[in-house]
Amino acid sequence: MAIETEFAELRPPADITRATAARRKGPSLYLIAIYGILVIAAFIALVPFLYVISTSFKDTISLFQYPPEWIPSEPTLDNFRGLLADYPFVRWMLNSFVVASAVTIVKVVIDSMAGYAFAKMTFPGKDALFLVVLMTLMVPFAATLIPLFIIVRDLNLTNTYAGLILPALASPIGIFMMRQFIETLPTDLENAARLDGCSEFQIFRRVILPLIRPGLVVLGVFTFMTQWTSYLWPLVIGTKTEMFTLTVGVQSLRSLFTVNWGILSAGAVLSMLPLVLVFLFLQRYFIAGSIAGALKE
Amino acid sequence: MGKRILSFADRRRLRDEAVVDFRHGFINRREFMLRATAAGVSAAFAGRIADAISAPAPMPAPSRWAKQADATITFIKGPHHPDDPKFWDTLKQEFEASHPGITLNPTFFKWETMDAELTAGYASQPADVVYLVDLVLAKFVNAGQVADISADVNAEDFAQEKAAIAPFTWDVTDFGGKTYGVGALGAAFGIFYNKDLLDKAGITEFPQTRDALVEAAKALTTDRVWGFQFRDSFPNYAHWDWLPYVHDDGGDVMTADLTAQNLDPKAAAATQYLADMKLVHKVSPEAGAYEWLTGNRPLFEAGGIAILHDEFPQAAVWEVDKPVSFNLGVAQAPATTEGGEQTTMGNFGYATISEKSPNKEAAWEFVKWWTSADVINPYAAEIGLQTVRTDSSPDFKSKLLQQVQTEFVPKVQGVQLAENYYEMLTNIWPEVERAYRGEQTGEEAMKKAGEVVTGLLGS
Amino acid sequence: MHDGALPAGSAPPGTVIRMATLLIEQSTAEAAPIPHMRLSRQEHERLRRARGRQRALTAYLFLLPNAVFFTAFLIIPIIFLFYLTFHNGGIITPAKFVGLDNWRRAWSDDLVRTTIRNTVYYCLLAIPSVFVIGMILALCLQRIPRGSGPFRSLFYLPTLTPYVTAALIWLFIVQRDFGALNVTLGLFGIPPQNWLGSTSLVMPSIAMLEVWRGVGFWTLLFLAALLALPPELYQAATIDGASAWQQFRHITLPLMRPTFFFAVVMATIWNLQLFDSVSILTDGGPSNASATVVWYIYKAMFQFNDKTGFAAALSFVLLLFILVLTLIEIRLLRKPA
Repeated sequence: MAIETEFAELRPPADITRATAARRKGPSLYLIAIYGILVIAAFIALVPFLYVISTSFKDTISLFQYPPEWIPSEPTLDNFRGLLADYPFVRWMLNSFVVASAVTIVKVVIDSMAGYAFAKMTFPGKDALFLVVLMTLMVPFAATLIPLFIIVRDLNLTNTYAGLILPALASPIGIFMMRQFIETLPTDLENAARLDGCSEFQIFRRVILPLIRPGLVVLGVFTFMTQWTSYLWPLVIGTKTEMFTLTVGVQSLRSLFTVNWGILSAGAVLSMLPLVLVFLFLQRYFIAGSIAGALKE
Repeated sequence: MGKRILSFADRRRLRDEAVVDFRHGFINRREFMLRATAAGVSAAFAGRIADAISAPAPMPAPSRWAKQADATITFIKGPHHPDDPKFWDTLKQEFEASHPGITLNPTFFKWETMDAELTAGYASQPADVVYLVDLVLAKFVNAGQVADISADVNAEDFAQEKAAIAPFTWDVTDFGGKTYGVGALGAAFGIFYNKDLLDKAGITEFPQTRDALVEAAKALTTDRVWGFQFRDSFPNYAHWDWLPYVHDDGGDVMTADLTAQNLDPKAAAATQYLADMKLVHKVSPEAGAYEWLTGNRPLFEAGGIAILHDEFPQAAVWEVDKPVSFNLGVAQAPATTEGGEQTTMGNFGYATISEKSPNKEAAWEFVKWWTSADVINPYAAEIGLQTVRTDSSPDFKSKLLQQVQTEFVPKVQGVQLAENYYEMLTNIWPEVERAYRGEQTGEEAMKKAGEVVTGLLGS
Repeated sequence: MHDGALPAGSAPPGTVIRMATLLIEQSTAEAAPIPHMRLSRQEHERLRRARGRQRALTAYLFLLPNAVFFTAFLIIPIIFLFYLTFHNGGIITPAKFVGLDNWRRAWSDDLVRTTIRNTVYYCLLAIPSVFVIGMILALCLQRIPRGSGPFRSLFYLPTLTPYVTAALIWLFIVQRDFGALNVTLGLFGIPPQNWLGSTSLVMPSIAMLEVWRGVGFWTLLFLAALLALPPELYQAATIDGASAWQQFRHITLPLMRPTFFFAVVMATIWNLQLFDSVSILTDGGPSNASATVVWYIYKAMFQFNDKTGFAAALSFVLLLFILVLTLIEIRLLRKPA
């Protein structure tokens, strides 16, 4: 009894933090307002897609109708059927999947290695190298497109998976991210491992990797999504229809002078669907792992 | 003292390894060698790549294609139809059947990245036959990437074919007296009009002069209908709707010999005329108000625009695929005055052979085949584009396209082919837009644009 | 106290080893007069250096896979780009050395100045908006007891949209008569606006698109950082009677500094390279009002005749510009309050 009273005295008055108050008292005006903001924001985020989704169920050659028809009066699945029957859509999806997965797996491995080196090791030229990594982020991709294309072409990699994958591996952002993650880990751990006679690689493999698993998930999801929506490079490097990725394939559904917007929208919807699913399943890790730890300098 | 105690092995080891401290810049011999080698190798590698990119390795001497020898030729064009790859599967079979020994490999660039893809292609190993649109033809000819095919074109066995292809295309592909391509396909741009609305306003014949067009547009404009609309912003290719008014006046961007700017004053009148449609007569929406695909077209389909500048291939949609609910007509931009000559704007593409192609003869066989009446006409009908042949025309499903082909295509006056054309356009257009918004007169706009053109011709 | 800029693990790597070698060095220095120890000292020195060298070698091995890809697909193209800045042609025509001409042009060209002005204007519109909105949404998400998951997914949806689709969607949004923007304005009696056709509205329109596309990413980022803040601090502050605003101002903001640091640096680098949406929606218009630096680089590189050197020089001007800005930001943001 006495103990309980003491606790009660220590407890802050219920109405001081409104958040705690809300949690305790159930729905309050404050909480309703917050949900209001979120609902409005979600609506704004969602509404633009409704245009595309609605168009994908219409039999339409025009992009827009006067007056606009928000909900198709005669919804049709023809666009989706046509897309899957007349175009190698499944192949495009497979291509995107192969490319995005390969890049993701390799990137997660080599970026965590590079991040570890930059975060925890001393070696000559460390700062200079890291500055180079950062600076490569600042060069617009359009500017290096031609030399890159020529290199890849000279390596005979046009219209191959390698041609789609390899250049994507030269992306600096993951190194930056992993360095930020690994830097937050206490040095004692590696030192202890070192005293136990672990080699650097063993430390990396046994100590560092398990600790940054959330970070790896973040990097993986980020890389996968970047690759899935990547456009300019696959557009330039793939000239054969069967080597198109989804974004390129969907874009190829429009020709120069006439466009079937229904098919195009159906393509856009189908190309986003897997990504939305991936995100829905992984978002728990995405947030739980949280970039937070990584963001401390 | 210490030295004496050292064994030979120790000494050698120390000589190699004693001072390795990067932080203080001490480097021993081995390290130096290692670094130097690394630097050398990477420099050589970078140099080699830079060499390869900047000065392409000399191509092997063109192996002359003989009827017996096998050759594979690659063709690249942009898709003119969502099913274009399928059409080309068929064309490939037909070509290979009639040309044993030659394998055809049709490929596609994407229109949005055409410039990047073609540049990259020419920089390394381009396709043997490239479909080049007029806007970029001069640039790549000027860069020495397109083969001179004068000899083939002027050969006796091609004389009949040459005569059957519209003369304007031969003007376009002529650079310094040499021929660099064969006209194949194109799109013409001009006016669509809603006959029902014109009938209602008592206009029985489409206006042939500028003044008549203004009067008609005024009569057609109500609070629910715009009398006249044309594309007015750069990403909508607004220059296609502007140029016929410049051309009708005998004006053009440059003089006929492409040596000086010619935009002032006739083009000024054309620019002012279109601006007045918006600002003075108020028969056309303010500049930029309606985007082409989400504005002009749906508004026209719904009867909200009476006279609309657009691209003629759209006739296939409005007449056949998804017919509009009113009677549709096509016309050319009006002439300045009574009896003046009307022109049609067109964007045409040419079959060219790459200078680097090792199979030029086989490539020429393909060009001849593709541009021949029996091949190009059915293909054009399928994709809904115009051809440039004068002896025959495609069997279009759309009657309006037929009309465009027979009546307007012969009157096409395309863009002037200068290697700087795109840069000129990029610099001219902001001035035209200012005039459309009423921030300056057509005259001022063309004066500034003229300076840009002159500057680019000088450079 | 919790120091945002100096987390627990920031001890310089290798400190222990360095201290150890220092100790060895000192002990051997004391022993120096004994002749046979001279060798021993050298031996130690040698061992120490060999160890350092081995560690460096290991580090290089860890960097090697990335180094290979970087060299082949990023560094060499960039070196080639640098080589192009001193030449005319060089891609489809033979390169002709022109010295610093392209650099001079990049500094003096009027359109370059316009594009830099436009790009900076865009950043000033987009970055603060996306941060403020992202932060507000993150704070809201942090405070709700349930349903945070679905909201996070919804907010992230626009980020997953490929650029081409996003730009297409935006054409619907800004449509004159039935677009969501004008319809919404109409509810308040405001006449329809010319979103992409007016020189003053075009950049805000583009910024709106980019904010819509980007806000989900930043919301998640900020939320992740918020969730990692120590709750004890807030409890203490509450007991001290600090208001919600004071808590936000004096606890949340300072603790979020590292997150903001990452966010500001990355947002600057990304947004100064604005290209796709401009290229698809306005192509720099009307009258160059939305012409950005990368838009100009693309034009000069691919569409203009023989301007590759100029485009290359312009790329490096942009690089320097971003670099200077980033360094300034690092300076301003790194020091804790």
